[in-house]
Amino acid sequence: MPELLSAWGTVEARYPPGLREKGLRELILSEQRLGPFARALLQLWYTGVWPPMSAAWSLENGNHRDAEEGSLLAIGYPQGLVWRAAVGIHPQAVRPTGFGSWALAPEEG
Amino acid sequence: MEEIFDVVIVGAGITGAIIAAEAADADLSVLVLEAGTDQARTFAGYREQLRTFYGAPFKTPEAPYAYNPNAPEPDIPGLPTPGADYFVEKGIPFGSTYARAAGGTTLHWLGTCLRMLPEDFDTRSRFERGLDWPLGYDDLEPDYRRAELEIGVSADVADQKHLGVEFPPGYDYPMERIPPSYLDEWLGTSLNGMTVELGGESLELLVRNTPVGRNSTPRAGYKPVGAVDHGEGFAPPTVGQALARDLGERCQGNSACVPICPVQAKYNAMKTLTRAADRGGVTIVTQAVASRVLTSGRKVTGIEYLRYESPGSPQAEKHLARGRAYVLACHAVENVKLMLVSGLQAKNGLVGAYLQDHPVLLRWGLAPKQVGAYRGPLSTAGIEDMRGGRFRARHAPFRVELGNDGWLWPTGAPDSNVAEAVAEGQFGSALRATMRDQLGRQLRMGFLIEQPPDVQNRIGLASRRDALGLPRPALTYNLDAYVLDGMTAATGVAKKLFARAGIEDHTDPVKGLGFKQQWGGQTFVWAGAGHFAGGHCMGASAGDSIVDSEQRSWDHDNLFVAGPGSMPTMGTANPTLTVAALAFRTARNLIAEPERAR
Repeated sequence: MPELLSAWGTVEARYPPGLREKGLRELILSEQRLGPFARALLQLWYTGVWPPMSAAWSLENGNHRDAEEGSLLAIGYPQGLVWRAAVGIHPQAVRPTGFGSWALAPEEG
Repeated sequence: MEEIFDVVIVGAGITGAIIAAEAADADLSVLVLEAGTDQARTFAGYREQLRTFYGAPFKTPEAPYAYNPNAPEPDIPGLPTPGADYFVEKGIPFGSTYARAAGGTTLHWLGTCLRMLPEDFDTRSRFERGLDWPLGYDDLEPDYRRAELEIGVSADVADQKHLGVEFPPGYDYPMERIPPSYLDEWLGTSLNGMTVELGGESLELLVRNTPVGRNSTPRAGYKPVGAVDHGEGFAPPTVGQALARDLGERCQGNSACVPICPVQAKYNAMKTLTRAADRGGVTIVTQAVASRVLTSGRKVTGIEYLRYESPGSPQAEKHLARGRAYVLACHAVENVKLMLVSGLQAKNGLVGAYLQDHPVLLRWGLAPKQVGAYRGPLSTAGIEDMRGGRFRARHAPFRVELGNDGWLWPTGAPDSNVAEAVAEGQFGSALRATMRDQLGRQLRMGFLIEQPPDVQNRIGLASRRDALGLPRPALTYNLDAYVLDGMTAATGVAKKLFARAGIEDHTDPVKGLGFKQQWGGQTFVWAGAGHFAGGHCMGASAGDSIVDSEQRSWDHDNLFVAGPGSMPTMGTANPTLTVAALAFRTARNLIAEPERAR
């Protein structure tokens, strides 16, 4: 994680605001070690689930799955960004939309 | 001296709860033995299950319910969960599950309350398929109404009269129908009135609201039942606990009917069980696994059970329950297991035979515009017109369940969409835009195919044992040509429906999470429906069945074997409403005549 943050620092320093996405691709997402980690982090933010890393990546970098994963997911699942990305949707059993709300036309995103 | 109850019931699911409540109303003393825990008895315990669900990496029907090695229950085969190999299987995987806990499988049912069609009760005579029931639609109709009242079904009779399903004049369901989803209405504008050909027969289609055990707007005179909150030993609730009962009187749109409705707006059998407990005269013992039915000649003399203190420890004490009449009501598979363990083998060799499910063909796609997926109850409508007709002589009929839940079931969406987009290199605003565009357009259809009883599909005992030393169920299961030809026909219909509504087909055996089945050059993606039938089928004579039309054992005068296992066929109706109607029929006959010499 500190490595990822430091790489982001480099992106911020070297690439002007309009080109940050390019910087992310060049210095992080295409990087052998940081790329898979960053993509896993994206999935964690979006869904609350840390996805399984490839065998090759785990062999090189270790794979520290947390024993508390279930209870972390219990907090993370309702907060997943995927449920904020689209308009009108919600995680199962969280933030219900109210009786009959499902009959209304969905808001266009 | 130990107490002798009027009725001893094994299983605190919908069947056991209804029979217990009815028997208590008739002033009989009742003992209910439940293998699992009663975590859903208090609202706090129920909410704990909700947290377990949030934290479960695989959000299956079992996800909210902690695995109990002393009363293990199955999970979807192939998952890395402890229940996934509970069944010892031959043939193809059996993809359906049930719950072992007070409340039973209604804890995680969808709530669909379709009646069976009149023609479903005698498919052998009409179509030379399946088995005839020893009773017909008209015999069961009053009990269907009683079951609809008990469950609190929301539907409008005006929507439900079709394919011969009749209601008495003036009858309507306890609550108004659940509002159709935007998706239902949008599909209806494209699909209503179109025709399809099945076996040379032309059928006109209509998107139809589905009757459900989910609280809506009550009709005059009906009071919806909210959440359950009871004290230790099912004691009446305290004032504080009673507050929880104000929750769940109407569906809030939590979109989690399966596996857990957070407010209990969806019916579960705890509601009936606590009604029985409130009535008095009912003793409910949980964490009590029935291990043997004791008999002497044509009489059941007792039920041995193992009472354990904690699901975490196999330490258990053996007890004996004694009654005048006995009811096995612990779901098809566990009923059969208990009979076989106890040596209750019918001479006809049919204990365990005719295991059935509704194999569900899954099809999914993207609507041409935002249709509001991931909102509302998981399903609010279906297409029922292909459930009946002369074509049933040629291939299996089916109903179409329309999902409001995006691609959750077929692909594990939206997580699978995130994983795919991230793997493609998306992040930031592009990733957000993809999700915004796709999720609300996702649509899936589940085609529930009738599976007629096949004597080769059966439940037996495995040599592997559970923590308490009881055998695990051994299942032999396959899909025959009649079912697979039904899937072929359903696939053709799905393609027509998608084309007509402008839905982009994304059905893909590689991305689909379900089972794969090859047939006629196609690969079907399918899943279990969670629907069981068979194992102790009812019939007209002792020669060809295990119980009669009252679910009374042919072999033992004071024994009833009740639940979905008694159903010789299911047609294409989700079985719970019929199971509940049969429970009322059984209760009435048991009260009138607890024992019948044959």
